[in-house]
Amino acid sequence: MQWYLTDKDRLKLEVELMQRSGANFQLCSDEYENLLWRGPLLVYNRYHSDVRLVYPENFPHEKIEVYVLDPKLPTVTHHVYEDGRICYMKDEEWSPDWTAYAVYLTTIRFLNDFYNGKMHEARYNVSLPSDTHQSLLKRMWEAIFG
Amino acid sequence: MICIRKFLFADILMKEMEEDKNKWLNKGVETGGYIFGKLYPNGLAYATHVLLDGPKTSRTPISFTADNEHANKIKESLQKEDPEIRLLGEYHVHPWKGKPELSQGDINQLIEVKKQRPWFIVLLGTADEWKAFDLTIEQAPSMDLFSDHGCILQPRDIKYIATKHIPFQVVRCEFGNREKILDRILKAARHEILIKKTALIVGLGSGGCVVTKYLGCTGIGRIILVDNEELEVVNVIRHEGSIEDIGKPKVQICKEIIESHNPFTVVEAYSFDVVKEFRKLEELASQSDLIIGSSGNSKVNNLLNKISIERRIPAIYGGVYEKALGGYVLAVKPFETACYNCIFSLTSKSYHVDVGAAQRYGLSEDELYQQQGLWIDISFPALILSKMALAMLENKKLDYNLALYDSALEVKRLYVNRRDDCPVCNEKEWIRKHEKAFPKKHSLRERFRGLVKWTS
Repeated sequence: MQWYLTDKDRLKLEVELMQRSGANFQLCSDEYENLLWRGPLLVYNRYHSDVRLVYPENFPHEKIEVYVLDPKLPTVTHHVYEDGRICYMKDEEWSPDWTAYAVYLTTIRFLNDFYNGKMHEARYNVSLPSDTHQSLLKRMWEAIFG
Repeated sequence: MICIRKFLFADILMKEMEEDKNKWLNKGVETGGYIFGKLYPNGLAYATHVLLDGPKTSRTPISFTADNEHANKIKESLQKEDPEIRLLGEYHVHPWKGKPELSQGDINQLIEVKKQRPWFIVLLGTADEWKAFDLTIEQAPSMDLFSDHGCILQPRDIKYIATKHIPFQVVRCEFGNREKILDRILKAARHEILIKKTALIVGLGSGGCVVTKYLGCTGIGRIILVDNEELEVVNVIRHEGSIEDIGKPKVQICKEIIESHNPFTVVEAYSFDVVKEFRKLEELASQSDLIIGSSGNSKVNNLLNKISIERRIPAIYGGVYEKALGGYVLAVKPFETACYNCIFSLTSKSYHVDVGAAQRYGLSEDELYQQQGLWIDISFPALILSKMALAMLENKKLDYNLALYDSALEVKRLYVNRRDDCPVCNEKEWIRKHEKAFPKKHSLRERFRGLVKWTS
């Protein structure tokens, strides 16, 4: 059974925290009846119009998955997957203390580190190819102005 | 009401039945007889006697009728010697090749017999093999079939809906005496309690297989094993499974290890991914008196913690760290002592990889996550876990709930209190703490207004 059907207090808190954060995210559900927060993020001058924080069925005992879409991040580190999912934390490091709001903040930090190159240089010694920057800028432009 | 979970046969009885089978198979007629023995509170049936036939036994190519009058006399004489002996079931042989399957007539007859003897099963043979059959009961979760005192519950409106196989093990007759097998530990553990207990062990790696082996040698009634991996070449150097076992599911290896030491423990083996099949894990855990998380994987342990707290089932977790030079064991009594999250939420990290820590241990970052460590070092905390698990199953009071082991052979025993704001075992307080910061309170409906957008 989905967590939000049995743990209304936790759901209430999750909503309250996200509301308070000022994030322009909306609560939706996907085809598996998982709840998710969906909204835009502008970090380090890069704009993503569709970022999703997806609650698993056994939340808060399992990790919230984060998808950075439209545009997806280039898969230049092990922390970014083909389907747009990012690895902001190892599964083993998750604890039920984490809320969607905490994950939201971590996603901002992740994107910040991703774009300013910290993540690549420290861990993999790679940097974004220049054409990726161009491509991102182009897609960002399309996302904003159509 | 009691049901049989496992059938144990002495090899000489199997030999007798095999000879009877071959004798009548050659004549093309069915044969059979009755099986007498003991039924233990953990659902283990041990066959002590087999009645092959009586003066009024009749056999045809499609039927076998036993001599019930003679069987009753034999039962009474057996019970004079040992009052615990009862009629466990019947065996019969279909005189053809192929897999044994109960006929509809067999099923109808079994349903009738079960009204008097709910534990009754059928051992069915063909020219090729033997199989033990029981019937599945509708609307009767197995946890309700046993009370704290063993087989007490009465069969009411039980509906049998399908046949099921009962595992049976053949042992040399000298291993058929439970008291003899447990002789050297009879006064070292509380067997009258342990035989009624069920332990669920999740994770059968280097530590889990040690826990399984040693708990299996304590006289616990029932052990449920869960793991989804097969033994690989890299595992053999620190696992109870050997080179011959490579490719076999770890649950099967561990089941065989327990059964080879103590056939009187009922061992059930399940190979599945507990994260993907969480409901199945919940169902198995609900039948247990103790949940043992020996995977060392906190994703799995978080799920076990959820079940433990929600269903108020005691749990115990173990793991190692730093090339297995240190280990921990945490015992949890729901809502009494710290839960898994009370302690391990403190260790969460961000996505950043701790390269510094890897270098301190002289490892590359990848090596750090390859779980380096000697089996000796992994076994120490695994043994501590086994000892603490046994104490919990024996209902002994522990004055500590966290044991920390390091390779200097030092064990620290600590009592850790519950976190007063743990989101798992103290959720209301945790929420209240967060809510204090809210500027104003709205109803749930108001909070959702203009916010929820349900997609189709």
